[in-house]
Amino acid sequence: MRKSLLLIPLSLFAFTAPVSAGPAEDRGLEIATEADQRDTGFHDFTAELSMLLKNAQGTESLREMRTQVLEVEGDGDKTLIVFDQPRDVAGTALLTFTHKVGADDQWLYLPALKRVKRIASRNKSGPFMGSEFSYEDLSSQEIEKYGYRYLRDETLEGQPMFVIERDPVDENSGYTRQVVWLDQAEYRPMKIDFYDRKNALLKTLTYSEYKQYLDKYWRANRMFMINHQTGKSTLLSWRDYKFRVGLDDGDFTKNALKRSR
Amino acid sequence: MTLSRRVAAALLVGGCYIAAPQAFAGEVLGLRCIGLSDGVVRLVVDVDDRVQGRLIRQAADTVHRIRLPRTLVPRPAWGGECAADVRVSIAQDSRGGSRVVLRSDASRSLKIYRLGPRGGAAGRIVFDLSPPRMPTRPDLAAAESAPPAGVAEQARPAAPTPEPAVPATRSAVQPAPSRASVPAPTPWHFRGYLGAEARGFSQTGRFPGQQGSGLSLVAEPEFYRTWDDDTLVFRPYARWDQHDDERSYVDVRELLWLRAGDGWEIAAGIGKVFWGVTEAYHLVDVINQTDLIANPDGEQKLGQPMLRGALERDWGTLTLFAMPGFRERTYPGRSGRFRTPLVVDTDNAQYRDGRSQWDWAVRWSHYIGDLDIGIAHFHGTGREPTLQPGLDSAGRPVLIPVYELIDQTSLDAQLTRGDWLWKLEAIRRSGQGRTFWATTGGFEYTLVGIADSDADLGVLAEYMYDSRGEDATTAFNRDVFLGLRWTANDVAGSTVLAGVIRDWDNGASAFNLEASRRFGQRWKLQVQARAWFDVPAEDILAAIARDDYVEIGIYRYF
Repeated sequence: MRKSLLLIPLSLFAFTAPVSAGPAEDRGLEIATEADQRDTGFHDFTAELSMLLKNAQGTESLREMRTQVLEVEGDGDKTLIVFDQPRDVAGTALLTFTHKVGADDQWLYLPALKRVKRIASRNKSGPFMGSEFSYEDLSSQEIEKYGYRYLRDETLEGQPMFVIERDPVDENSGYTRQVVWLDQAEYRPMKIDFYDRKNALLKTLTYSEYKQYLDKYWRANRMFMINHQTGKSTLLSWRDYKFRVGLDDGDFTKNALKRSR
Repeated sequence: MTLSRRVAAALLVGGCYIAAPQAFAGEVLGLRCIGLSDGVVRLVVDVDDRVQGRLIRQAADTVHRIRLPRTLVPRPAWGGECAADVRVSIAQDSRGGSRVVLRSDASRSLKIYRLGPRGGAAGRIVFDLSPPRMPTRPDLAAAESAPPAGVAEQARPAAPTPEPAVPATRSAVQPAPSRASVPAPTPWHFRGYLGAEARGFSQTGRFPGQQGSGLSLVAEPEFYRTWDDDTLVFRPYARWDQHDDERSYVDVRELLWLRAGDGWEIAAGIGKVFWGVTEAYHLVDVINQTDLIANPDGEQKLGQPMLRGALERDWGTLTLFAMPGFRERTYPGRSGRFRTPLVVDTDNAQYRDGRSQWDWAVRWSHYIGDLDIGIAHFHGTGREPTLQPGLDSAGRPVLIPVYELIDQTSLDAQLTRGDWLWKLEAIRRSGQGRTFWATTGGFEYTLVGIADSDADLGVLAEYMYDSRGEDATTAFNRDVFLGLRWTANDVAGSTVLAGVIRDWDNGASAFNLEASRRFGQRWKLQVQARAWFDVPAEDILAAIARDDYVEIGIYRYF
């Protein structure tokens, strides 16, 4: 009798835990999945990007990079970034194999030593090149990386939006949660509020100047990140997007990393 | 990547996929049209051979005719719609080649790109018709004359056309680096640095006439150019030292031509290669000779003449090196610091087994999950000489560097587990006295975001062992390295690496600190400090135990 009493609540828990998602969770996942679907199939692209870093006093610093991205079916994207500015790191390159589940694989190429270093990729919350973007903000956004919850519909600058909350699955994430505004017309992220580990509002990312490529894929040419706690900001500008230039796995190897210039 | 070429093609949005007619003689693997979002109409032709020879074209506003070489003949003639107002036909011409004709209703300009192997095809030709223009443009033939000599027509697909050559101000921002992204016909790129280094010693040297504190200037510019699948790099190095003539010299660190294809790579010239994973001592790194006068830390290397070929496959990367021309190790002169009690007479080096014409090396490297591994074998003149007492040409006692023919097999491996990096290097060397083995290994553990900041703190520990014990030609026979690496992750990219290497047996210790930060976009400040403690008179380090120094370097990057 005592045994069965114990068993009943346990089994209830076991059954309810995985399916505890309510309608808000279902709706949130549905929206995120639709947004992901709409960005699937681009195959590969190259782009140039620059980051304008500004501190609370207004001092500016510039980073320039080139990137190439390969879509990987069934897993996270492969990315190669080569730095052009600041000049002391010119030629430094970073190869990342993102994974939907688990830590990413990451190699750093140091051109002065001609050395490729496998680096620990768990440091997702660290700043990317001293900017307000962390590695996890810039890595490929996979459905599996978050839990989702639909919050509300809202109008942002005259456009109807879905507002969803997503909670990082990775315990090494720098965030407890993110609130994402997606436009209802195209499911593009327009704004993200990031909440730190203490659940205080940390940063806001605003997307603008969206442009469509191959009649399907939307890319924001400008992404503005402001840190509310420090007053620092980073304007990330993208240009020269080229889709389907014919990249394949061979362009994302340690040897390819060494060849990058 | 499991997305097949066919699926990728079928996914093309805003265009249509034209299946290759079966009647093609096999030379043309596929044709397809893509309508790009900026109004460019693109015809992609995949062929089963490298596209060689000249593509001769005649251009007019609405009709573009391009003659293809003999190897690319579709049979029979083929034609169709490429976009609503663009028609394409490919047919054999009277001279044994074939002709591509692109007609559009409106005036469009044409760019042609010739690409190397990708996917299943050995070559690809891309024809980009610009968006329709106002019909006021005069004849285009002049503007689209033959490509630069020796270089295939190259430009960047999907670039909004018409576009003039890349402006000079863009030289710092080249197109993406790999062979697959097509570089513009850019001139030589330039980068590098100029530096001024001031070195201050805390004591006078142990030997009479050794230099004191002083200034050194260094320059390391790099010129490179990429086209098609090729890269050409030239990286000279020049140093001037206020006191030490041996330290005023010029070297070619790199003068290398490199071609990369689908899964292979070849290179010829003077190059630099790094093998290994550890931080304190680079045991397996054997290709390049160490430049001991640029910096006593052994991290500076001389350029090495080489032919190199690499194969990248599922089972890893196999690289073969053939190295003509051996380079002798540099040593400080009589007045230089960090010297042995007797000066090393680099003018009278000896070769115990004769001077080998060619040195050879083979290396397999791969990564499997968290493990990065490399196994290599080197056969040739050892980079590390045995120093033997002798007399120089003036009859003064000196150390003669004696180079031996060695065989060295090496292993290097790193396991990356969360915030832990586990590292191991090991060698077995024969030909230099008794066969011996040596190893170094340890870990680097990173504490992320220490004290609620953005900074990371790495803790490093490595052990060095050499089976020759006290007879070892290196200082690292039974030593322990402990270090800390602080990375601020700030705008200035500030880092500090500090550590101590301690001889397990006699307690001799070497302290080492390297710190750097950036100022603005182009300036960098670097501080190095080295000091030696508790060095017994019989230790190999005794000669340099009074050479504690601090060096402050300011570098301007271009």
